[in-house]
Amino acid sequence: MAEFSKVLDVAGVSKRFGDVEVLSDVSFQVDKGETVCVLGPSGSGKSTLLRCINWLERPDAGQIYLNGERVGINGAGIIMSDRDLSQIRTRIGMVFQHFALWPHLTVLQNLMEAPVQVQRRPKAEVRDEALALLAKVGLSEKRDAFPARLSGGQKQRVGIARALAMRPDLLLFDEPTSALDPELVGEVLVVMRDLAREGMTMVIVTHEMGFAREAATRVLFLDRGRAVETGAPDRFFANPETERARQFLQRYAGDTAAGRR
Amino acid sequence: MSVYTPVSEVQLSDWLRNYSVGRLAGFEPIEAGIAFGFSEIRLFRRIILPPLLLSAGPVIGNQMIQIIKDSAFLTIIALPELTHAASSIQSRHYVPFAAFITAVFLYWGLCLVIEAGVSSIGRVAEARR
Repeated sequence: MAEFSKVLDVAGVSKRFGDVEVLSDVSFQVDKGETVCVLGPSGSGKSTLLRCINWLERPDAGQIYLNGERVGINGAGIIMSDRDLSQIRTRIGMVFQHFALWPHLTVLQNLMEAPVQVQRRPKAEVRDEALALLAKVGLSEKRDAFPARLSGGQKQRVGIARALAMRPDLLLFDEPTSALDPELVGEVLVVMRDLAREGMTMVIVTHEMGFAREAATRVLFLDRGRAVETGAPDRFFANPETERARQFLQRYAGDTAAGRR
Repeated sequence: MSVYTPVSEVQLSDWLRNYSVGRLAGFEPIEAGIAFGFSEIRLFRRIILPPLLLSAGPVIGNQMIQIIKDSAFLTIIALPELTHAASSIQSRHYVPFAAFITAVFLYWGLCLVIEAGVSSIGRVAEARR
């Protein structure tokens, strides 16, 4: 399937919770090596969109393709078996807002758990790779610590390394810095920026406008469940096309000026 | 044992249910397990059960000690256990005290073993808290 330089293709995805339409007809594509930042006010459906991509949330309508392969629905047009869905999910790494590390495992075990248990890769190989990833996020000395003993920033760096240990085609970030103290945000953004530079394909839901502006290859602006605007970050931040995006950015600029960020 | 422990079993399952509901509802690590491709069985075995057992350890230990105590204090004993053995020794040899004191110490020893088990689970859990 060489024609798919698109790693992710989201086509017309809709989702409602009861009477509330959380996503309506959202479409976007992510090319290999791209860093797409999803921005938008709270409640605009950003996290739901991310969770629909790996089917943690089942979309009501629309299609999602990972490297040309349909996620969640099999060739016969029916919902995939859990096994097939698991297989696809192993190719999509996810980083959670509240880290979601496994509390009963050490840092190194957290990294090795899914590759060994789910992907069934040889333990020695996984271990070497996990140690290299820990070195990369600057946490080699914490390999035998339990998550409860780490700071928020360290936990999130472990979370990123854990997702990378799966060798995913695509990495999803669900507000990775929102639960962190302001002084710890930087260390996580550094890791993410490095990944972007290395050409990891990523979709990042974030409120870090500075990061989006500088590290994103493209920005997707959601408002009330609709993909209102998409484009290069320079253009989006300097000269947004829609009134909604302009208001949104103004509010953020105001917050920054008032020192509230 | 079932004669003496219906209450304990109900309590135990109740405790476990409370633990699982209270501790695991919206437990992000489980969601992470799903997102990382764990099958349902493996998710339960590798991700859900270990923390659950660690946090329920003291409850299970207390229940076990309670069960042992209950069975010790009840006079109608259907199973050939310690008090029964002690009373038969007593009736044969006419040394009531020695036999029952031995039984008491054996019970105590049993409880100590369980306590030691519980506290070692507790230490493992503490390191992860």
